[in-house]
Parts: sequence; structure tokens; C-alpha cells
Amino acid sequence: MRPANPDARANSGPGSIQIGEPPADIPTSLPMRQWLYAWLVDPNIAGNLHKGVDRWIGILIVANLLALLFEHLPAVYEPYKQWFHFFDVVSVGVFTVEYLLRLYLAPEDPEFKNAASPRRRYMASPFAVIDLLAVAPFYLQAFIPLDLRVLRFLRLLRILKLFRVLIPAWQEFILLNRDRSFRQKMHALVFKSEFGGRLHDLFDAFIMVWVLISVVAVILESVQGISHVMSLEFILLDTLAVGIFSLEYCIRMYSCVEEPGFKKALSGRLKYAKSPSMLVDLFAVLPFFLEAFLHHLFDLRFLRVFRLIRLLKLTRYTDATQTLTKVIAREWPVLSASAFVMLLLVVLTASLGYLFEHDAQPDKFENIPQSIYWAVITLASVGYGDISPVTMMGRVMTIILALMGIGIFAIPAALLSSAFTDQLRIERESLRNQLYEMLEDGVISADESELINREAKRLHLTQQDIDQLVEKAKRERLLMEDVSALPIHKIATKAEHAVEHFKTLISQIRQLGIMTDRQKFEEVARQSDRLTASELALWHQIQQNVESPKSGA
Amino acid sequence: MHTEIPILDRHKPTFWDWLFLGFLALVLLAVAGVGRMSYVEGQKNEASKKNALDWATWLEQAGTNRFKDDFELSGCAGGDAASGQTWADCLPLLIGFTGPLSDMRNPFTQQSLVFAAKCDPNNKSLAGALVIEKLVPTPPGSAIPLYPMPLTDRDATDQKMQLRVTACDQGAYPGKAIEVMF
Repeated sequence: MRPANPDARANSGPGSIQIGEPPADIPTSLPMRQWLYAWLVDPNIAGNLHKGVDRWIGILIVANLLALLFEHLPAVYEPYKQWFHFFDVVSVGVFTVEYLLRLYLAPEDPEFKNAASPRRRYMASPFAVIDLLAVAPFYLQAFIPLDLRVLRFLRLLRILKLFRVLIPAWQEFILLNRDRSFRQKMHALVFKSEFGGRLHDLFDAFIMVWVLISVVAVILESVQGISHVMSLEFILLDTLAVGIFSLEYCIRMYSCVEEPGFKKALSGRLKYAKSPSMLVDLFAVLPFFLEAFLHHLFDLRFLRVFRLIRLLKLTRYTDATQTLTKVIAREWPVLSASAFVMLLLVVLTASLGYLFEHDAQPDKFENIPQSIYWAVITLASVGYGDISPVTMMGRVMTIILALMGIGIFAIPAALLSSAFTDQLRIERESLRNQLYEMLEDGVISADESELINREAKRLHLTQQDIDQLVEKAKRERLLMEDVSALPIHKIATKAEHAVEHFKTLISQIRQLGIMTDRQKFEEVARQSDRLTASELALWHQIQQNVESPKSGA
Repeated sequence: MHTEIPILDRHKPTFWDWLFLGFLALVLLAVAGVGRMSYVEGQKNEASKKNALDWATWLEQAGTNRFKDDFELSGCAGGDAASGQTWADCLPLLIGFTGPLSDMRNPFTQQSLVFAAKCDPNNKSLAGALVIEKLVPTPPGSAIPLYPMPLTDRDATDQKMQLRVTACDQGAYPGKAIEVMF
């Protein structure tokens, strides 16, 4: 893919590292059709609207598919019939505009521009036929009375529009994985790698969409009014989701040996299967099988709630969980100490509560375990009020403990909060160091720029933050180049710096010779043997070099 | 000496790749099989819900007609003429050989429909059973206006009564309750 301005990413001035793609630099002087093609359709111009258009069209196609599914449910369709129709009209409108636009722009497309009639050639292309099939039934029904079921079936053809995204991604994937084994291809599809391309991104998006669909389904299934009318649909949806997740699990297990650290066929796979993300994947599908096979023996209805674990599958696609794990691991000693103090306080409070209140309220403070509930609710400042002290001592103790609880229970929250800030600072510092290294040659290459882009996205840095970091790194590098400001052992590490420093010292000696009374200098140096003969000779030599150009002049 | 290095054709799947693909197909078949099992069970639940709905619909319709003189099922009739009639007089007429609800079957057992006092998950044999309860008004000031009580054979049917029909699902849990005026 060619950026509109190839140099845009490859200079080192502040502000030159653009977060995300830089906006395309398309001249407004272009003819209208060419200009529209460059902005909306050309896949080879980075930063134009092509990706955005494709993405929104893709979302509209998926929304159409969902609408079509819901239209089969009278309980959902009947009350909102008008809205479904309105959505259908809007969708067809958008798809028609897209079709006509592509038809209009066909003479600019390199694929069709050389044909005798580019537009006719475009109309005969498979993608254009699919696009036409997606909207034609809607217009056809105005002239020919079509059965509603036939119409709905024809509307299903809209899903074929997704091929406009899928086929180029597939072709790119094939190209990237030429001469690679089947397992390596599977690996490229499910794991993040340089061979995955857009197909890997689409696969990730597909899994994420299914995670969200299945989680929403589990939540809605708990609403009796909805599950009463859609129970069979929920079963189908769950079966599909489990099928997809099982497929993903198997492919991951099969191809994980291509990942560094999991190379061995059996032990590598076992090690990978034990990783937290794979355990989540396993638990995401397990309730489906367990409930089906063991429901005769046990009541496994509670397992359905565990399908919500599928939401954790999304953690694979974000670094936030990794940051949380790092923070907890780093602060674990302090967190565990804080937990110990909390435990101590809870037990103490519960025991005292039992001691003071048992006689007055034997039903509420029946024993210490029951008092623990009251202690936790009091110390955590929740205060449901279902159990409260009535004796004077009990109330005094509650006042003290409630005040202590605010401090003690707040410690872990404060710890985690400050640890998060620290972690963010460390990661920004690391990015700054990376920038510092990248600036060694004075240029930030396209690859380096992409790396910074990724990191900036991960750390949620704004353009301003990145500019500041680049500026800071540049300042540090300049400071590093000013060798006089560095200690001698640092200067000695680099021959270039040592030579520069030597030159600075020589010039300082020359400057000294010019500014001081040279006669007196020599007298003092000779009288008290302050300088050795060789040192004095060197002094003379340096000063002669100063005089000789003068004498020459 | 020039030696020819054999080029491994990496495009073709190996034996292990085929094995994996076979396993993948088996997994998908297993998912489809389990899904089908769940779907069949779900259909039984749907049939059970339909039983409850049919009962509720009949009771609701009968609720207006049974107070008329030409009501066919005299045992279920209401009004002064039916004074002293109980649910025990009505139920056999409904599920009897010629009764309007006689052809209903428990979808889980394929036996005749069973009536239970309440759905109990600890008693799996109640799957598909129907629970018909009468809704009794609670004393004024209560948090809930009506309280469900099991409809017994001795309950009088000569007056209008509010009923609640519930089908027990596969796990003998109560499904959605349908309230009718009988």
C-alpha cells in the first residue's frame, strides 16, 4: 500500500509520527471522478476513506443479517414491523448508492479502465453482480408480487457482499503464506504474526463478534419473557457459538507449536493448553457438552451462567489484563499484607460484635461466623442495615471500626491505583527509550513509526503525548552529543566522543595560553616542579601551534 | 560436485494435517450432535409450553361461556345452577376420552398429561407436568395482592376464579406462568 506522501512517516521532526494513518494527501485539483475514486474506493492510498467505507458497509451487512433473523420471530418482529421496514429501506438506499458510485467510478479503476466500456465490464464483474443481487429483490417487489419467504431468502444474498472484504484478504493471506506448511498457515490465521495479514484481523473480529453475540444471548436467556418465546433460537445460537469456539480452540492447539516456547509436539501443546487464555477458551465451551451429557445425573443448570466466561475471551485482544496482572504481581507483597490486616480486623470485629451483641440480639449475632457478615458490611462501609448493634458498647465499637475500615479497606484500592500509574509511567519511559534508540540515525523509518504507532495505541497516547516524548528523546540525544556535559567514563566509551573531547581540551589549553601571562606561568611551572619536562614540552608545542598561524599572518 | 536438494512440497497437507482435519470434523460433528440433542429437548419444552397455553386458552374461553345456559360441559359450568360443583367434577370431563383436552400428552414421557401441585426440580418425573393454581386474594395491606394455592378437587367452580397455569420444563423447573379468569 502506498501512502499518499511516502516521506510523511520517515522524518524525525516532532509531530511527524502520526498516530494511526496520516490523512491522505489527495490534491483537490484532481478531476471530480478521479478525486472521488482516490478518496472512497482506491485501496492503495493510505489514509483515505476506503477502509472506513468498507468497515461500515460490513457492519450494515451483519446488521441486515441479524434483522433478517429477528424477522422470523413474531414476538420481536410484530411490534416493531415499521422499524424493520425502515431499516430495510435505509439499507437498500445505502447499498444502492454504493453500487451506483462504484459504477460511476469504474473508469478510474485500474481493473476496468483499459476495457472498451469500463462500466459495462464492471457490471459484469462478480462483485458488481453480488451488489446488484443484494438490492434488486427490493426493487423487483414493486413490479412483481413476490412471496415474503422468497423475498427474505433473496435478502440473504446481501451476505455475499462480505466477499468484497473476504476475497482480497484471502488473496493477501495466500500471498503472504506462499511456500508455508498447512500448520503454519493455520498458525498465521489464529495467532498474531507477520503472515496473518487482514484475514487474521477478520478472524479476530469474527470471534469477537461471536463472543458478544453469545454473551448477550446468555444475558437475554435469563429474562423469562424472552427465553419463553426464543428458547429454540437460543439453543441454535449456542450450538453455533460453541461450534465456532471449538474450531478456534482446536486450531490454536494444533498450530501452537509454531509459537516460540511451545515447540514440542506434546509438552508444548500441554503447556499451551494450561495457559490462562486457553483455559478460558476451554471453559467457554465445556458447559455445553457437560450439560448435554450429564444432565441426567446432576442438575447442571448453574453451568449456563458460566457461559459468561466467554466474555473473558476478549482479554486476548487487549493488553489491559496483562497490565493488571503485572500490577498485581508487582504489588503482591503489599496487597497480601493489606489483606492480612483486613482479615485480622474482620475476625476481631466479628468476635467483639458477638461478645457485645449476642445477649441482646441472639438471633442476629448467633455466632461468630454470622457476625463476620456484619463485620465485613460495616468495615466496607456498605451498611445494609439488616444487622445493627443495639448495645452501647456495640455501637461505640462500630463507630471506631467503621472509621478504621475506611482506611484499611481503601489501602488495596489506593495501592492498585498508584501501581497502575507507575506501570503506565514505566511503559511510557520504555517507549521514550525506544524513541531515543530510534533517533540514533536521526531518522524514524516507516517500520519504526509503525512500532511507535502500535505502542501509542496500546498505551492510549494522544498525538500530543507522542510529540512530547519525541521532543524529550531528541533533547536527550542532543545532550548526549554535547560530550562536555558528560562524565569522563561515559565519554571514554565512544571513540568519536573521546576524540571530540580531546579536541575540546586542546582548545581549552590554547585558550589558557592566550589569556594567562605566559612568562609567569612558565616560571611557576619550573620553580616548584609543578610540571614535568614532557608536560612543559607539550605546553610549548600547543602554544607554538597557536603562535605559528599568527606569525604566518 | 553439485547436489540437488529435494524441495519439500509444503503446499500439500501432511498425514498429521489430515489427522487434524479429521479430528476437527469429528469435533464439529460432536457439537452438531449435542446441539441436535439440545434442540430435540428444547422442542419437548416447547410442546410442554404449548400444552400449558392450550389449557390456558380453553380455560379463558370457558371462563366467559360456562356461565351461559348452553355450556356443553355441565361439570365445568358456573353460576347458581352449578352450585356445589367442584374441580373434581370438571377435570375428568376435560381430559376424558371425549374431552376437549383429551389428546394432550406429556412430551417428555409420551404418556397422558400429569397434573402436579407444583414443579419441583428435585423430582425429575414432573418434567412436562402441568400445574394449575388458584390465585387467592391476600388480606388488605399485603405486599402482594394475590397468593397462589394448589387447585384441589374440593375447590368449588361455580364462581369466577383466577387461575394460573404453568408447565414444568425438562428439569422440572416452572416455566412462564399464564394467568386466566375461569
